[in-house]
Amino acid sequence: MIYLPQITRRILTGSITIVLAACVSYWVLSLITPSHTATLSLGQYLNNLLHADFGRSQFYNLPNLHVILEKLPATFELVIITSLIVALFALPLGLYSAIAPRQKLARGIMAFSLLGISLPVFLTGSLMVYLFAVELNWLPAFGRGDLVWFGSWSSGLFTVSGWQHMVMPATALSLTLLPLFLRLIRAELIQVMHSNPVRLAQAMGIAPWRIWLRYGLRNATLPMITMASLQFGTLMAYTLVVETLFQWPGVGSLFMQGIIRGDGTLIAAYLVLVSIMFLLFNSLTDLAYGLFNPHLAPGPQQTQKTQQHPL
Amino acid sequence: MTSPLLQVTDLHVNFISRWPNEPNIDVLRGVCFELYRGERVALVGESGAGKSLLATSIIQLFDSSARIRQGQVTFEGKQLTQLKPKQLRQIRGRRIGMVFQDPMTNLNPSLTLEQQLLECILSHRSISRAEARLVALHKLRQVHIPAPEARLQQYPHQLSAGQRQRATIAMALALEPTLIIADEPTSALDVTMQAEVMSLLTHLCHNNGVALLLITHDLSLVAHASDRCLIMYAGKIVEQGPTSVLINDAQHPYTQGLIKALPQMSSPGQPLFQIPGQMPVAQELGNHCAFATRCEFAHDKCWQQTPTMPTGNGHRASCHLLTAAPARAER
Amino acid sequence: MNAAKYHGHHVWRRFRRQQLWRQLKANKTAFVSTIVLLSLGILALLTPWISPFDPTNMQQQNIMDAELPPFWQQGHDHRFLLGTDGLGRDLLSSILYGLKNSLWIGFWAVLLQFTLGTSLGLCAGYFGGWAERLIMSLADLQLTFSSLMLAILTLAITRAAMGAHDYHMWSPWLLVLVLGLADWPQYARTLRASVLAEKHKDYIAAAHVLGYRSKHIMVFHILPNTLSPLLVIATLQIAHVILAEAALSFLDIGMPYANPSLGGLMGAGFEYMFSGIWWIALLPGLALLTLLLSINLVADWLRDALDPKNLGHRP
Repeated sequence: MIYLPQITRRILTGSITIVLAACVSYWVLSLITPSHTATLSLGQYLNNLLHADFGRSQFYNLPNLHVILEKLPATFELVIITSLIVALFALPLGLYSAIAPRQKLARGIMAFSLLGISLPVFLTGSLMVYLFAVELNWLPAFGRGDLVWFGSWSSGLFTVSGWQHMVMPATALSLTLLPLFLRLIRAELIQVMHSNPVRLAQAMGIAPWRIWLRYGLRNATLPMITMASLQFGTLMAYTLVVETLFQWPGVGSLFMQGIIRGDGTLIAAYLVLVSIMFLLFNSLTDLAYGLFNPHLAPGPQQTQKTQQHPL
Repeated sequence: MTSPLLQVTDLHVNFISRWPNEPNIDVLRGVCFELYRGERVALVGESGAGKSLLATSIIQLFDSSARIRQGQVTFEGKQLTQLKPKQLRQIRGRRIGMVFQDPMTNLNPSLTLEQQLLECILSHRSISRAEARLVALHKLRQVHIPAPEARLQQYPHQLSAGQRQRATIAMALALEPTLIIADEPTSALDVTMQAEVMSLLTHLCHNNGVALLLITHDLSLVAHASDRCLIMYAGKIVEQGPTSVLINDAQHPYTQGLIKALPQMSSPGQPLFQIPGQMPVAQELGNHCAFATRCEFAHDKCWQQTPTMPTGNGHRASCHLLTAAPARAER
Repeated sequence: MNAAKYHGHHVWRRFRRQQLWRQLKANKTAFVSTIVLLSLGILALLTPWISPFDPTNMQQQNIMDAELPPFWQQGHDHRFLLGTDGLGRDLLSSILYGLKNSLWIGFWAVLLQFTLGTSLGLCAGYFGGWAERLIMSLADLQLTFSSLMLAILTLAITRAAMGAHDYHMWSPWLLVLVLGLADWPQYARTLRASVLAEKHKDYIAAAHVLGYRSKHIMVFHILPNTLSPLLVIATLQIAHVILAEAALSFLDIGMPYANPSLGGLMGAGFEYMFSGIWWIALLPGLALLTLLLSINLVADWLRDALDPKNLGHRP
C-alpha cells in the first residue's frame, strides 16, 4: 500500500498539532479563568483530555463535551447543505462559462462571481434578513425551526419549518464559496482544453461533449479538492459569523457566547475540538486526493496553490 | 494521373492579434502541395517554419487564435475548409489519423490505454465494446507491443517511452484511416527507439496502403522514410520532389545548406557547416524572398520580388536563380 | 552599491510601468475601479477635514437625534445626510471615518504581512536547509487553519481575557498585529517558489562570482525579479484584511464602538432593521462593498497586466 507513508506522516504531525493545541488551550484557560488552572496542572489537563474529559462549562453546568456535541448537528447540517448548494451550482455554471465564454450568460456569471468575492457574508446575510424577513416576511430570521430527534442528533432537515430556517443562512454561506469554485472550475476547464491529451482526442474526432466530461471534469476534480481543503478554515470562520447573525444554535455561536460570558473551560474545550476537526478534514482531503490521482502524487497540502483566487 | 488524396492550394493561415491595432500577420503564406494514396511524404523545415501549423491546419485543429484566411484543403474530393464542425469530426480520426510528438503529454495520464483506445474506436464505429476491445488488441499487436492484454489495463506512465509512442501509433491506425499525419513522432525518443518507431510507422503505412505525411526537422530521417520530400521555409514550401532526387541534387540554396549541414556530409576534422543567420519572424517578411538574408547567392531580384514555385510534377523549387541563368545555380 | 541598484531590470521595470498605464486606460473596468479606489482613498485621507461631524467626539452626539432616516426618506434632518445611528451619530461621518479606519488597518496590516512574509520567504528559498523546513512547516500549519479563523480565535480569546473595556482600548493595534501575522504564509510560499526557480539561473551565479554578499544578492538581484506576484497578493490582501476587520468588528471583537468601523456599524445596526431602520446596517455595508469591489477589480487587472506571459507584447 503506497498510501501508508503519507498516512503515518499525517498521523504524526496531527498528533503533535493536537498536543500543541491542547497546551495552547490550557494557557488560554489560565488567562480567562485563572482560578481553574490554579488547581489543575498542565499534565492533569492533558491526561483528562486523553480520557475524553473536556471539563465542565461554568455557564451551562454540564460537561463541555456534552454541550458542544449537542450543538454540533446544527453546524454540521448547515455546512453540508451549503456544500451541496455550492456543488450543485458551481459545476454546471462553471462548465457552461468555460464552454461558451463569450455568451451573455457566461459573462454574467463571471461578473457575478467577481461581485461575490467582494460581498462580505454578513452583508449578504443582513440584506437577506431585511428583504425576506422584515420587508416581505417570507422567511424566518432566527433559529433552526422545528427539529426531529434521532437519538442525540437533532435534525432540521425533516420539517418544513426546519428548511425555512435553513434557506437564508445556507444561501448566504454558499455565496461566499460559489464564486471561488466557479472561477476555479472555469479556469481549470479552459486550461485542460488547451492541453495535449485534449488535442489528441480532438484529432481523433471524439465528440466535444465527451471531451468536456472525460478530460475536463476529471482533471478539474483534483484542483477542486485542493481548493476545498484550502477553504475549509475560511468556511469555518464564515459559519461562525453566519451563526451569530442568524442566531443559529451551532458550535460557532456557542463559542461567541462563551467569549462574552467568559466561560473559560468551554472556550478551551472548543479550541481542542476545533483542532481535531481541522485535522480530520485535512486527512479526508488527502485521502480523496490520493483516490483521484492515479500517480499517487503528494496530497493537496504539498501542492497548495499559493494564490487563493483562481483566474 | 490519379487525383491526389490530399491537395493543399494556396493556404494562408494567420493568427488573430491580441491587440486591436496590430494587423494579422500570415504565418503560412500560400502553401501548395499534393499527396497521393499510399505515398510517404516528408515535410522538412526548422522550428518556426510552420510545419506543425500546416499539419494542424489540414484538420483545422487550431488551439489558439489561428485561422485559415485563404486557400483550400481538399481531402478525398471533399473541401475540408467548407465543412461543418460535425462533418470535420467524422473525418478526424477515421479518415485522417494523427501522431503527435511527445507521447507522455499526449496520452491522458488519468485514463488507461483501454479507455483511451476504446473511446477512440467507439466514437466512430457502432460496434460492441467487446469487438472494439478486439480491434484494440489487434492494433497493439500490429505495433509490436508485447503482452497487449496486460498493457490495456495500464496507465501511460507505466509504459516506456517507446511503448507509449507505439500506443499512439496504434490509436492513429485504429480506425484504418487513409492518411496519417505524424508530427515529429521520434523527436522525443532516443536514437535506438527512433529507428524502431520510424521503421514501424513506414512499414505499417506501406502494408496497409496508408499515406503518410511525416513532419520533421531532421533531414537524415527522411532519406529512408519518405518517397517525396517538401522543404518548408518561413511559411512557404521552397522545394519539393522525390526524396532521392532532392537529396542528391538540391536546387534551392536553403536545401543545399541543410544537406551540407548534415554531419555525415562533412569530412572528418572539418568544422560543421552552418547556414548563417536565423529564419525571419512573420513580421519581418515582405515582398521579397524570405531566404535572401541568409543566401550566399542573393542578388537584386531576390530583394524585389517573391519567387514562385513552378507548376508541374516532379522536382521543383521556388528560387530566382532557377528562372534566371540556370548556369548560376550550379555551384 | 549604487551600480547594482541601477541594474538593467530596474530600467526594465520603469518601462513596464509605462506600459501598465496604457494598459490601464485600455481596460475600462479596471480604469473605473482605479478611479473609484483613489477617490475613496482621498476621501479617507481628508476625512478629518471634510467630515461634517466627528463621531469619536461624544460631545457632538445628542441622543435626541437618534435613528433619523437618510435624506430621501420622510422625517429626515438636513444636518444628517445619511441619517443617524442609535446613539445620534451622523451616519455619513461614521461611514467616512469607518473607511479611513478600514484603509488604515488594511495598509498597516498588509505592510506587516508583506515585510514578514517576504523576509521569511527569501530566507527560506535562498538558504534552504533547516531554515526552509522550519519556515515552511510553520507556514503550512498557519495555512491549514486559515487566517480569518486564527484571527477570530485569537482576538476573541484576548477579549475574553482582557475584558471588553480594556480590549477596545487596544484593539486597533491588536487588529493590525493579528491580521498582519495571520497572512504572511502566502507571501512566503510564493516567494520561496520563485526564489528556488531564480536561484539556479546564470545571473545569480555571476553575482556570486563577483563576490556580492548573500543579503545583497537576495534583495537587489532576486527580489526585484520575483516582485510581481507578490504585488498582486498584497493588493488582494488589502481587500482581505479590510473584510476580516469588518467581520471582526461585526462580531464585536474588532474596532471599538466609539471609533467607528464599517463592520461595527453593521453589527450595531443589525437589530434596528427589525424596526424598519435599515440604514444603520445597510448603508455602511454598501460603502464596504464598493471599497472591496474596487480593490478586487484593480487587483484582478494588476494580476493580468503583470502576468509574465503578457509581457513583451506592446499595444
